[in-house]
Parts: sequence; C-alpha cells; structure tokens
Amino acid sequence: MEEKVNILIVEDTSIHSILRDNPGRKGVELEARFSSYEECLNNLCRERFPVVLSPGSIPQPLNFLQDVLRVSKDQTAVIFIVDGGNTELIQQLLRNGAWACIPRERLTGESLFREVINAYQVIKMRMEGFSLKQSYIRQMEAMVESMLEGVLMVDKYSNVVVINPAGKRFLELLGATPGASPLKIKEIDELFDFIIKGEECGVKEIELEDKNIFLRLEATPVKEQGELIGVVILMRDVTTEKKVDKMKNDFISVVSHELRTPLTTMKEFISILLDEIPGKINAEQREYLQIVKSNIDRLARIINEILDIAKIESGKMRIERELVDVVEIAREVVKTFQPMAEERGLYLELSHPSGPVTTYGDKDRLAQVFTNLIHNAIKFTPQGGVKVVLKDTDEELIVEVIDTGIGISRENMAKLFMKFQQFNSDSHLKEPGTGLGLAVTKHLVELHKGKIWAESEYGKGSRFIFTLPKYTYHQALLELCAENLHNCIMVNKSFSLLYIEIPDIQFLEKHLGKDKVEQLKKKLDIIFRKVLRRNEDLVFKGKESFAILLNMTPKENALVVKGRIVQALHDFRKEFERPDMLKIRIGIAGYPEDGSREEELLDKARANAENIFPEVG
Amino acid sequence: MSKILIVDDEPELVKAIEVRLRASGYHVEVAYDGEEGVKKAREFNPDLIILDIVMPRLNGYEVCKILKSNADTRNIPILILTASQQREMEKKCLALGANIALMKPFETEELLLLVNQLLENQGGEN
Repeated sequence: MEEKVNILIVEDTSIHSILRDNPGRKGVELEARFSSYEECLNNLCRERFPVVLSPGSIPQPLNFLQDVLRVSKDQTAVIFIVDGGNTELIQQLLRNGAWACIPRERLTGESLFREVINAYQVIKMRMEGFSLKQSYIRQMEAMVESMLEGVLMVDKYSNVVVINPAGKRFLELLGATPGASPLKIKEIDELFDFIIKGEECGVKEIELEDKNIFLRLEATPVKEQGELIGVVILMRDVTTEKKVDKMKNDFISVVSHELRTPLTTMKEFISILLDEIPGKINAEQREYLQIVKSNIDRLARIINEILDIAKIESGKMRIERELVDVVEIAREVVKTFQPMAEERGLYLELSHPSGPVTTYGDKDRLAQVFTNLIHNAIKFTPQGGVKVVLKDTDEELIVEVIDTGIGISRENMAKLFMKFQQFNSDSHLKEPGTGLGLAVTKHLVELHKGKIWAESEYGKGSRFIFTLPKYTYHQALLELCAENLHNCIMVNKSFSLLYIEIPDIQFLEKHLGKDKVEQLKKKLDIIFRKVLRRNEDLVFKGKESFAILLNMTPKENALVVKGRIVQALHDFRKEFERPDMLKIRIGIAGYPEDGSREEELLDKARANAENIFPEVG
Repeated sequence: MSKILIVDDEPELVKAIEVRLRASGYHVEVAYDGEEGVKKAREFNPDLIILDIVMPRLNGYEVCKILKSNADTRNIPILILTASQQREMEKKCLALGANIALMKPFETEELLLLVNQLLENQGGEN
C-alpha cells in the first residue's frame, strides 16, 4: 500500500517543480499542498503536515519557524530553502529547531526528496513514541490501582497527588479523614520530613494494637531530572511476616538457652579431666580432650552470635548505656588476647591517648566489638601481628585494628559485614568463624551511633576502623533525660528527675582514699536501686552525682520517692565510718511543672538541691 | 575449710562444679531447687552460695530475696549463675545484694577466681 506523505509548501511554487524531479521510492507518495505565508499556520491547525517546506526569504523566517513548531507541538519538520551565502540565518534557523536548511544552488529534486522522506520518518517515529507513552501511562495507572500495597504520593508541599484504593484503606486504618489533603498523620509526616531532608529511604513499622495489625511504610523520594518533586510511600500489611518472625526468634532464643546448660556441663567435665582431677591422662588423651574443649568453645560462641543476630533482627537488641572509658575497655580486651597472640608468635600492641576517653555506651557490648575485631585479626594473621590504635579527635573517638594478615579480596570486601559470610575457605586457616561476628559487630557499633568500615590490601593485611561519639557525663545525662522525657511526653505522662550530688568529693577522696569513695558510690547506687521498685526507673551514676529518672511519675509521687531516699540515706549515714564528712544534696524537678526541656529540668533540679544532713558543716 | 553451697537444677552441672571445687579444697554442699537451696543455706550456713536463676520451686531471684531479708543469711555472698542473657533478672538479683553474676558457659578459671575473691572479701569484713 502506498504511504501518503502530506507536505506543505509555503509561498514558493518553484520548490514543487524541483521536487517533482525525484527518483521516487517504492511505497511512498508525496502529496504537496500550497499555502501563502499568512495562511500557513491556519492550515497547520486544520490539518497535520509532517513536513513543511519554505523559502528562507519569507518576512520573518525565525518567528515563522517557532510558530510552526509550537502549533504542531514539535510534530512537524521544517525544511528551509535558503540562499547559500546567508550563513547567519542558516545557523539561527538550525539552532532554533529547523530540520534542515538546503542552499538553493545545491537544490536538486533528489536531495530534497531524500531530506523530506528522512524528516517524515523521524517525525513518524516521534509520534508513535508519544502514543506509546500514553498507553504506558494508562498501564501504569491500572497497575497502581490494582496493587494490594497501598501507594501514596505526596508533592513537596505534602499534598496528596496519587493514591490507590489500597492506600485509602490503609490511611483509614491509620485514622485519616477520607479525602483529606494534606494528610496530618504523624507517621507519614515523619517519613515525609525524613525524605525532604535528603534521605534516600525511610521505613516505619506501625503496630495497630487494637486491630492486631502490623503496617510497614516505606518512603522514597520522587525525582524528576534530579530534582525532588515529592515522596512516594508504599504501605504493606506485614502482620503475617511479623508473626512468623516472632516465632522464629522465640524458637532461636529458646533453643539457644537450652543448648547453653549442657555445653557448660560438658565444658566443666572436660576441664576436670584435663586438670587431671580424677587421675593422670597421657599426651594423646590430652590432645583429644583439647580438641573437644576448643569445639565446645566454638559452639558456645556460635550460640551467642545467633542469639545476638536474632535479637538484632527482632529489634530487641538493647544496649544499656552508661558513661564508660573506652581506653579501659580496650586495655582489658587486649590483655585477654595477649596469650593467644604470644602462642602464635604474633605481636599485639595497643596505643591510646594518655587520659580516659569516655563515651556513652554499653561496656559489655563495646568489649564484644573489640573482642570480635581483635580475635578476627589474630585468626587471619599467620605472621607479624596486630595493632590496636585509639585516636581521640575533637568530635569522636577513632579505633583502628590493624593486622599484617592475609587481607581481604576486593569482591569479599563488599560482603564483609553481611551475615553468614566467611572468607577463609581459600586459606589454610583452621579456625572457621560463624560468619556472624562482623554482622553483629556492625550492629553494635551502629547502636552506639558509630560507624565501621574496613580497608585492606589482599595479601598484606587489613585495617578495621570504627568510630564512637565522645560524651561527657553532662551530655550523656542530657541525652538520657531527653529520651525518657520524650517518651513520657508522647504518651501524655509526667516525668520526674532527682539530682543527688556529693559535694566536696575531692575532700572525701583525700581523707578516706579513692577506694573508699568508690565503695561509697557503689553502696549509694545499691541503696537507690533498693528504694526504686520499678523497672522503668533509672539510676545514672556520674563522678560526683547521681541522677534518678522517674518515668511516668508525677512530681508529687517523686517527692515521696525522694522522702524514702532521704530516709535510707539517713540510715546509711549511721553506719558510715565518718558520718561527719558525708554531705549529700538532693534536688527535684518534674515535667510538666518545671518545664518541658531536659536542660530546664536538670538546671532546676540542680538549683534547688538541698543538703539533707543539715547538722553537717 | 570454706563451705560452698551450689544451688542449681541441673544435677550434672552441679556435679561438675562440685568436683572442681572439692579438688580446689572447698567443702561443698548441693541443692537442686530454690526451696532446698534456702533450707540448706540455713542448715549449713555456707561461706558462699553459687545460685542458678532459672529453677523450679523458687527461682534464683526469690531465693536471693529470702536470704537477703533474713539476718542469719543476709551476709552470705552470692554468685549468680545465669544460663540466659536475662540481664533484667540478673540486675534485680544484684540490686538485692547478690555479689556478682557469671554467664554460662563460663571459664573454670573465672569461676575459681571469683569464688576465691568472694571468700577473701568475706573473711576481711567479718
């Protein structure tokens, strides 16, 4: 079938006579129409012409070109026949979207025909692309409408732009008024803020306790040519997944707990045999028993790591934070590994700043981080040794564990901190790990608001680096107060704070000795914990003060607690070796009476602290 | 010779600790649940109690509570053994006055060291 190509020739009929002298092409037939310059746009509005031919000598060729392109929505190719000398015009026209400018001197029927056909084919493809795009949009719409997941897109002003039926259902579950925009749902607002601030992904899980439903919301930015135009939020009902997950984690923790006791028994009896308590053993027997013992240790480690991973995955991994000296932790862990390093002929060194470096963290968990990294380093280092370096910068503490071991290949580097990854299969090392240690380590560092990464040169050694934020007692206390206060405010409950200080602690240290003062503080700690009966009450120990955080406690109840503490301290004082030297001051503050910011409460409690033994000094 | 009471519901583990402590020269008594533990603590007046947490008939925490609230047994040091990572329970026991907690599986050396330390401290205070 012949394909008819409509072309519009403006003003100059001579163009048509030239064009008629063409070799033709099978299946294509040109149908030319003529128009005056003035009538051209009207013609274009009435009818579609994929190609327009015009002389360059019309009054305002550039305006004409722009008008044609606008009217035809870029679906027309404009070819100019120009005087060859006029290069300025040619460049201007081409720059503004002319399909081609052919110099009149070189104009032949053949060249013009070829140009027209080329233009026509490109325009045709462009138009098909456009209709393709439209049907694609329709398909996308249908897909979004029929999804089981709720899809919600809001623009950057938080107005609802797209929402599918499932999305409407989920929003109603979350308590939104149907049709409202902006939505005013706390969780969605938080996700929105998160993404607007530049995050690439935000996730929230919401438990609707009354309906026994778990929802998972995932937010990602919507960008157009690199610019943020909104946020898309995907909503899913994850109730079943949650149940299965909980069963899995419960199972793991029960099994692991049950495994521990028999392991302990086995380990004890093996070491009894090794210590020759029931009788002498020979060298071969000793070797075999050693193997059993080291395998029991391995099993115990695996169980601990599996338990940790299960906790992390169920979100139950909690760190119990206090003010800790990281130098001290590093020193202790390095000491425990010294024999292992010596046995293998490796050096194990620690370098650290001279004073203590404090962070607000979980002592046992931080020790676990050091243990995992140092143990790994020793395991993968056949010769040379391991160096642990602590650096104290202004903002943070940097720890590096550097070994001269086998290193990590580039492809393994990417998977390093993922669970169940082990890279020693190609090495001669006889001590495989669980592949969980580094995954646990990473989570622990991140729970402490630190970062961890590794650098390595394959065959030459590795360097594991992690950072921890530095804290003073005051910063840690403020953060702890902020967390607890925030939780209370969220559920509309009160919060109280007791501030207990031992003034002149240096005086006490001088007269009684540092050990005695440490003991005194320990005893006070025990007294406070005894007076406090609830799990949610917290005691935070500082150098010369304690803070007691009473969650969900109105100030009048806190005053009762204060009274009990004062009573207990009076009793304690009678037994204290130098009652005359013991000074203790207690202050109190509560939300909402004394303010709603942690600084206000702390300042207030400090300011009204009064001596509870007025007869002293 | 110092007297040590082991309270744990796992007879074989109790046996293992007993053998070990005997070999180190201690006099050892054993109990297999919380109730028996309290009873033996009163009868034998040990110098140290090694106490499991998860047990039938009075768990370790309840045993701690009873012993610490009674003047006769209040001053006996207690070493808590815990099979679970139940830090809450452990902390409660420590708050009641238990001296230290040790997690299973433990190192023999660590157990012996702690036992030794607790007994020494006890001697010093009395």
